[in-house]
Amino acid sequence: MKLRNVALMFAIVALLVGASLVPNATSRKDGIPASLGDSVTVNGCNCHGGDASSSVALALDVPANFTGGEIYTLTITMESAVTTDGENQGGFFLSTTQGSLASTDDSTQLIDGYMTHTAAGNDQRSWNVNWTAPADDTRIADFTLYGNSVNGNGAPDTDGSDQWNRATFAVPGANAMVGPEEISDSRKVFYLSLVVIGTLGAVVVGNRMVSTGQSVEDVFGEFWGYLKPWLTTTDHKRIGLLYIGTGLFFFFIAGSLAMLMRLQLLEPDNDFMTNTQFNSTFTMHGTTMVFMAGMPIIFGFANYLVPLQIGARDLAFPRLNALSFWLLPTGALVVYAGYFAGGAGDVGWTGYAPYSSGERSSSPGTDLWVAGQIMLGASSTLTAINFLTMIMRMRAPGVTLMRMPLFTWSITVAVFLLLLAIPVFTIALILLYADRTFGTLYFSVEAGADPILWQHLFWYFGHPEVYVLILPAFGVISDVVATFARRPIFGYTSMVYAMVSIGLISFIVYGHHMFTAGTDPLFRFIVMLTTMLVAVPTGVKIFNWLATLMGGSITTNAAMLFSLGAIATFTIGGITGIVVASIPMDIHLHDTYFIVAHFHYVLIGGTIFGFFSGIYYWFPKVTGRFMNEKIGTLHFILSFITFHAAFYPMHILGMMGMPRRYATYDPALAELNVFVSYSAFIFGAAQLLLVWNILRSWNGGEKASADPWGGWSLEWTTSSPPPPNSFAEIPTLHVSDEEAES
Amino acid sequence: MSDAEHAEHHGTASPIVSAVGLMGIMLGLTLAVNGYPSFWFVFLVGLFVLVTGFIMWLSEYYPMTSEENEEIETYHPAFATLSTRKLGTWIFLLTEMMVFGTLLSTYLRYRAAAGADWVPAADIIRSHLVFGVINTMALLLSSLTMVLALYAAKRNDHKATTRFLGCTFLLGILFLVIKGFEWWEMKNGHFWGENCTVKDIANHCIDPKYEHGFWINTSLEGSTFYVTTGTHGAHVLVGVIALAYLIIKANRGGYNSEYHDTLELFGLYWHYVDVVWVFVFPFLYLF
Repeated sequence: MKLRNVALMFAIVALLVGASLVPNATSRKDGIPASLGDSVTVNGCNCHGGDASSSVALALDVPANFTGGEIYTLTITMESAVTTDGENQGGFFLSTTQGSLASTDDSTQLIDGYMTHTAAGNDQRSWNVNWTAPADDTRIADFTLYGNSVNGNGAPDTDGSDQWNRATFAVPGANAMVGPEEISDSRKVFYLSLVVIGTLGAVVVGNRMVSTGQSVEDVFGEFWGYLKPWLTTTDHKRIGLLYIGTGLFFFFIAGSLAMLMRLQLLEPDNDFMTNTQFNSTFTMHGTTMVFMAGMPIIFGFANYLVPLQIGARDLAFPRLNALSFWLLPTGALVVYAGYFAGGAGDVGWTGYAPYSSGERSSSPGTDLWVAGQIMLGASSTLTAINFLTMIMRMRAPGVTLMRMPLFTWSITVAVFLLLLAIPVFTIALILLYADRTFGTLYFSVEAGADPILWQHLFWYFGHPEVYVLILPAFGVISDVVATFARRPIFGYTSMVYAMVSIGLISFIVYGHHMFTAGTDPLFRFIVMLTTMLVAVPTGVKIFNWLATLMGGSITTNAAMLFSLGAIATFTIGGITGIVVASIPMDIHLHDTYFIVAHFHYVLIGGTIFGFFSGIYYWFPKVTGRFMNEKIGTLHFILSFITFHAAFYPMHILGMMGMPRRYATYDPALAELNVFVSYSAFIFGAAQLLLVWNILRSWNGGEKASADPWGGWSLEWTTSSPPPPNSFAEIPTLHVSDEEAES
Repeated sequence: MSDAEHAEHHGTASPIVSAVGLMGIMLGLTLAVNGYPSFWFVFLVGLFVLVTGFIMWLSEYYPMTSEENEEIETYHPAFATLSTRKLGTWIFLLTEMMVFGTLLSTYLRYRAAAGADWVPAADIIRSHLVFGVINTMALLLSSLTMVLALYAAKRNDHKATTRFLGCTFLLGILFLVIKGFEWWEMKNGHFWGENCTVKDIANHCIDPKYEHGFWINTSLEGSTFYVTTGTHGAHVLVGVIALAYLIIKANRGGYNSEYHDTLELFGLYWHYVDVVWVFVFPFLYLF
């Protein structure tokens, strides 16, 4: 369809042109204005009313250029339609980027380095000040002048007779070069990356042309031939790999953000980052890890494996599945566009309103953070519909619900949680977006809104969300442990019921994130009980794994090591969860590093280690080759040790009162923080071993058969890698004799 | 694709195109309203690309003349009487229940907490309630015409199918137009009792709180009213756009006794939108 191609090309070109309109933005001044001067430079004279008005004309007689070190007398004059005689006619505010200002008489004064009028000096409309030029005359001094003309009644403006305006004046030094306007750092990065990518692309294309003797069109055509199937696929296996690849990519980005945080926290009061930059870093770290690394990796595995495990050829709606995937990189791009708009979202991954809906967080980066997550939420909702339909309707003969592998069961429960929870979060995001953009008042306390409505909506989603993150990891661990203990999982039925009950209970525990938010004491008490209750089915699962191991014949390899490590680490994290489930403990520990330790133990320990185990386990199925065991073992040992080294001390730091989300800490805690930071750096570096292992084994690893591990589920009946239609013939699951007798 | 003959997966660009379009819309809208007006261009391009993506998507659907997924046998009793697409539609409606549940429960929570201080939109609308009643009748009637369209398809009456779908479409448009009118009047403070004028506040014709009109950013009552009814209206709009596609296909005889599932599934969605209105109307218009 030629017309379609033309339309597509137009759209792409238009998008690129539009993208080059990336705003020339620099970071906004961070934090709360500490002084009048900051307030005026950010907001103008709006304490005196309204916006700048051109009815006020300002003049500053600056020299054409300055000689270094000289003192100049500058006269400020203001003309305005409003005239009054005598008292309180007007005021001014003058700042400069170079040199210093000084008063010449008692009508002016210096506050915080800014020049402004005194009480004696507000009955006039012109003032004199002295300016000492900087010694370096290659610089350009920029003056910003605000003038306020008022009607002198001493009251706020009611009829528009109080007006103010702003003007800028640039004074170059004698040897200064006045060039075009400076471009912002983010724009420089953007252009530089375009140049780098363009150059690399030209080199690659040119090299290909020389080595194969093809023309430019042929090389592009060949490249497009490789790329197009990936862009247009609806095959669950390809989509699964796209998800996993994207997820691992963002895992490394979020990990780098974590490294930046630990760099900042190497010493107290470090100036590696400003407070606002630190805020964006931990916000983007959290949002990326949960929505752009964790969920995609989980659903990548699910996309690839669940149809194979139930004997289906694909998901229920393959094209919708592709849409779900493509909403991920596009949504992520919207979120990350914040970095180019003056600062990425900086409200925490939890985005609490009214902080995130109010004046204090008005940067576009936060709006983009909200908008991007709306897209990601749509992606997850569509995925959930797709999976639940497939699992209910498309299982192969013999695959009854109580014979599905536990990984598939974990995905079933997880998508059910998503179905009920994500729409609530999406609506909360839309309400937040509406408050910020259209002025609705959902989170506006002055208008009568509930200050913790956001917390209720967010955590109603947020708690089931973290169970969505952990349950599939449990599923992987179950499948891996069963295979490498050479026996079916102990207590399959109780495992299923445990996962279902964890899923159900997850909706009634969310209040434990709000123990210090001033909720009703009865609500808090009930939530404390339900939170402790959810440990029971979780404990059942842990004991079942242990029982499987006890009765089994254990093989240790990288996959098994990570699963065992996951069980151990998650258990510790679960126990600290019980500690903070207790209201009195949480009142002390809430928003401290104890909480950071708790959730990293369950998320890295449970989810990440669980899915690393899954990577080593299912790699042979996907590629037909084994990963290198030595590198894998080293990866495990390094990761396990440095993880505990980095995160265990956080329990202590938290108990000693170190708050989370702060860019600094009490100097008494410096030693522990240094230890944590260095351990974290090594942990991050150790993950490169995984990347190396994947890359070298993809085409060069030892070959693997259809069922190299002796697995118990249907994916091992098809070839490694599976054929394009997943199964040559839909298999039938038969019950083995041992199972029938157990 | 349940047997070896359906070995290939059909590649399609409509997902990536749609996603890129949505990205343009989100980026463009967000930055445009945050002080970078040049981004309205990006918004428009994104909208164009999204529409292209959806047209591509629909054009892949259009040639469907049989229930493709019916060929997937199900080997288990669970949901065996539903087609795959129908089960998917019901699960989708479950998520929609969560959407409106959130909006309505937020509204009810705020209203309950404010107690006597809450000045509901109903007080403003009461003088012109006829519009809300017409809207309710329109939606209920449109659900009926939808069902009649489905029956007409099942008995191969193409003209009737197209006509009933057309009626549903027109009723949906009527709903949206009336709602737009209502919003406009409420925003500008034009709804009053017959016996009072704008200035006649002493007779308590309209609460002083809304003397200058009732809008999204002037009060919490306004925010909740417009966002809730607006979300419902957006769902009606999406339905109306989908109806356009259905009418085009029905007009060419695309729905018959062999193949009418799309009508039934759309009918499910449309009935759901109607059911939501049955809750929204009393909660926000009557009380």
